[in-house]
Amino acid sequence: MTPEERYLFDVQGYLVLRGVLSPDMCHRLNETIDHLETLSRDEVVALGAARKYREPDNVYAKVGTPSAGDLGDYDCEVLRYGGPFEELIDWSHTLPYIEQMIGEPCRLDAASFMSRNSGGAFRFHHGYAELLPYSEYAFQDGEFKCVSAKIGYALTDVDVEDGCFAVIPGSHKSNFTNPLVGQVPDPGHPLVQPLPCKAGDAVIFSEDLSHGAVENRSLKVRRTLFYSYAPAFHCAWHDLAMTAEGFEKRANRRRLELIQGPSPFAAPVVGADAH
Amino acid sequence: MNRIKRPTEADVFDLQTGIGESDIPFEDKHFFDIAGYLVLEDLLTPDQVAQARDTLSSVAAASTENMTVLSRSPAEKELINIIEGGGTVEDAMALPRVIEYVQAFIWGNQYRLVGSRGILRTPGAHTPLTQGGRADPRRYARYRCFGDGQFRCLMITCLIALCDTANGDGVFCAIPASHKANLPHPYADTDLNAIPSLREIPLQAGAGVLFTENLSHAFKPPARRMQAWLSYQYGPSYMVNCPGCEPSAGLLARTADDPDKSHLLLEPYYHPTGSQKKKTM
Repeated sequence: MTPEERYLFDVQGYLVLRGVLSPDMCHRLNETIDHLETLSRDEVVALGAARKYREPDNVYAKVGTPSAGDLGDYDCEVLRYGGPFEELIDWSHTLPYIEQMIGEPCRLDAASFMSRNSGGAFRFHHGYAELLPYSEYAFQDGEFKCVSAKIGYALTDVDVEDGCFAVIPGSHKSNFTNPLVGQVPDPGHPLVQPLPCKAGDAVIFSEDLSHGAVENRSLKVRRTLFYSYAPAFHCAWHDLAMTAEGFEKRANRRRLELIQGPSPFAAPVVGADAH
Repeated sequence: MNRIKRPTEADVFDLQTGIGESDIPFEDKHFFDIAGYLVLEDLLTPDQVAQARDTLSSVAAASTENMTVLSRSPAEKELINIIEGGGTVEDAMALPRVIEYVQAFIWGNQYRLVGSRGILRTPGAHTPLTQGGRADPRRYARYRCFGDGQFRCLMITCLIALCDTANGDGVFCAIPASHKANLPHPYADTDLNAIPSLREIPLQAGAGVLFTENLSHAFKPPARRMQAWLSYQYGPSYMVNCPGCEPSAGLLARTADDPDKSHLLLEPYYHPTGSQKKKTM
């Protein structure tokens, strides 16, 4: 991270990184999703890429309405399918940021694809004042000590009217409970910062930041991949870090370590044992 | 053997009064805590704005016994201790809406006015971006807020626009949330227009912005015409006056019957007047 990036992440709680996915990588990821979307429910289940549709009563999501013949808003545990999604586990353009933000051996604790239709949105959640230990933003002795940092990769161009990601800059240090929690982010609110992205851009943020997505008022489907990281002593979120068959043989050492987690409680090598 | 309990300082004194009595909206506390500033619309009427501008113009012509004109550059003048000018520039130090926030953000009833300035800026005026957060060397500017929602800020400024900056001309700007920065900002040699995180805070004439001095802030240069501002600094009751901002005997005399102004102009103190012996041991 440059000094400016360190400053901005500390002050705002997020960074927007432009063009971290090459057009070729974006194409491969979208092509894979296009293919999966042509498959039936049973076929994607057999491939490990089951689509989990958002229910209308979801606490966080305001569910969008698909165009005729299109799929509804859904999430997918993409690492269980494998393919190009495995390459993002240790993506060289973003992982160094995560390593600095977490500040100690880390692991991937979740990865998910999200597809959002017109009318869809994601309500604000989190903020420092909730004092959630698993999402804490912290800074100590000149180093970041976050316990949860996430990357949102945009796979499509997403402007404000397309339902882009939105945050409350600085809310990762808020001393007051966010009164906007549970509301769809209003891009006109003076505290709200919508973050339009081009395909291939990424938003890296502390989970302690109040975040959500503004309402998609266009007819475009928003496609986003979220990869979440935590210190090695954290567990994975449910099945969201489960990988496809054969991953252990395919994966390089770093990817394997990020999925399985490095030894979180290894004793430091000191004194007479340090031979 | 029975031991006699010795009274503590807190047993004898009301060390602080007025805590939690301010009735400002929760949303404003949340906003100020996150962003480090609040915009307050319509603090002054158009007539008051006009009168204040006239006062600044006449004071700028020459220093007086109680007010000093500082020229940091040919394009900018600061009129130190502007409240001595009387009329609107005096009244604006004690605007009830502002004081309610000052009370909430500083320390209950223990606040005072520590400085006041008129500011005149013409094209070419340049202000660097102040350092904020932990890197701010000015300890008197410190921002403090605790998890239970209690503020204990040190210096807070109320800046009131006497000209319209809604179009961005000569606008006040700040980096929201920079009052909590753990790191120094890296923009010492950067043009203000090239700092993406710097937010313009456009104001209509008569509106104000209340901000913690711990926030990184600056003015953009006026492009076409002179901009006039009023700036009031508030601090906890024990904070001394800014240089050149001692109230004159005349000002103290004419404000003696005004409880709001006279409270602001009290000599610095630690314990509130009359706080002794709240309880007899």
